[in-house]
Amino acid sequence: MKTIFLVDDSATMLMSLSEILQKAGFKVETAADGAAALSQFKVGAKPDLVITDQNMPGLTGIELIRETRKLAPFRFIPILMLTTESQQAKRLEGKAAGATGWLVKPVAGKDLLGVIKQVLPGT
Amino acid sequence: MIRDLWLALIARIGGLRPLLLPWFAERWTTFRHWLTRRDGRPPASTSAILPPSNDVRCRVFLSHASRMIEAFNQPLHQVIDETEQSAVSIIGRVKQLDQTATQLIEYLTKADQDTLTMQAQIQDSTELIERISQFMQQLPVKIEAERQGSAELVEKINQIMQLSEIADTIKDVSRLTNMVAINAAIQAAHAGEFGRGFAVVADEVRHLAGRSGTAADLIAQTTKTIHQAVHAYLDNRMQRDFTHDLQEAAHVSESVHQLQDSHEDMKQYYKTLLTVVKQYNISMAHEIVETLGSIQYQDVVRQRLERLLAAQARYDALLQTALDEPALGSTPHFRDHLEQVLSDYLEEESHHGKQSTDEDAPPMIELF
Repeated sequence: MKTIFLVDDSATMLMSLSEILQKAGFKVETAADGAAALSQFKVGAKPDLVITDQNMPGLTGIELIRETRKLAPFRFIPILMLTTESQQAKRLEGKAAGATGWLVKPVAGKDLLGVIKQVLPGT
Repeated sequence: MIRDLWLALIARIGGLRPLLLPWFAERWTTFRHWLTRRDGRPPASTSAILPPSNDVRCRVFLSHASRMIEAFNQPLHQVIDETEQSAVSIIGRVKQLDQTATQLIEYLTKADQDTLTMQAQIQDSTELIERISQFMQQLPVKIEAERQGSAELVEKINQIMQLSEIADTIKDVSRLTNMVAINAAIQAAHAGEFGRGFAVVADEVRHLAGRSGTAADLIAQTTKTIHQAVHAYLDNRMQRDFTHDLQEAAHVSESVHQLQDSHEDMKQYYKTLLTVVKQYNISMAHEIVETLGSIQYQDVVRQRLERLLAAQARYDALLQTALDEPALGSTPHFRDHLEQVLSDYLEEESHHGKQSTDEDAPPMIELF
């Protein structure tokens, strides 16, 4: 069973996305901000995919990606940005930081699962 | 008078009065109180008490207030639309879920009724199995009994056939005795008067031989008749048993086919049941996923309102500064600050969500 790590400061987002992903057969781990996620990555959490929000207190999503990519086990793990931000410049910043894809909220459940299938082949 | 005009202006901007009117009314009252405190008397009318600088500042405030309201108006309408759209979507999906659940319950209720019919079929099948089982259990006993019965009959037939052989022997003896009697009669005739007594005996012996031969023929004929009768009986019995066994076997075969059909029906029934339940579950799971997806609007709306509140807080702080330091409120910098709040807000807002229907706009989902 593949593990997906969700990072979002919105409790409703964490709850609704967790439900969608668990129903699709994934194991889900969560963190309410970038700093909490980063500390979990540093102490051994090793998900197959990370989905993060951009605007969060403390570390932003792009900063989290930048820091996460410095960790050897996370160099090639797909990281998706799921945010209300749609600006092209911000996307390019995210891509440069190491994001695998950019999804603008709200995303339909089937579309989200479709993207996950693309970045996690065999699921 | 000016207050009324201002309120009318806000009212014309429309839609936001319940939200923003109290906020501006409070600031207007504070502003008037400040003027009263400064001049030491209540103003007869705003135009009468305001010096030119205050009048200018008022127009600046009003102009910016109007533009801020306009700026807030669009995202607030978006919030209304998004929340309504989300609520309608959730209601629609929950309704769909309810319909699917109702259909599933109806289907399962019908399936429950069908199982009553199937229970009767299962009972029939059980009886058939019991019957087949009994037939199979009795079969070896029956075969053994028939085998023993056949052996006894064969023995009896052999005994009967032996009687026939005895009859043949008697017949041979009778024929020889007759020959001997004839010879004795001839010899008695040669002996003349002396052989007369012997001739009588020889004649009696010839008669006895004739009677023995007749008896032997009768025995042979009776034995043959008995033999034929036994054979006929055996043939009949075998035919009867064979027909009965054939009927039983045919019945067993029919029962096995019935069981097979019944089993196939049940298998097909449960396969269909599982397929239908699975389809309903897939449909329900899809609706649940999309309902959960619709809840993302809450986060989108929350962030939109947070940006609006942040801009409003900055605007409020500037107005407060203008109230605390009247000289600052008349400077071009103050107007620039007000403009900055508005342009920052509009720019920030333009970075979020789908802002354009233009085909060149970045996609909502993009993989790098």
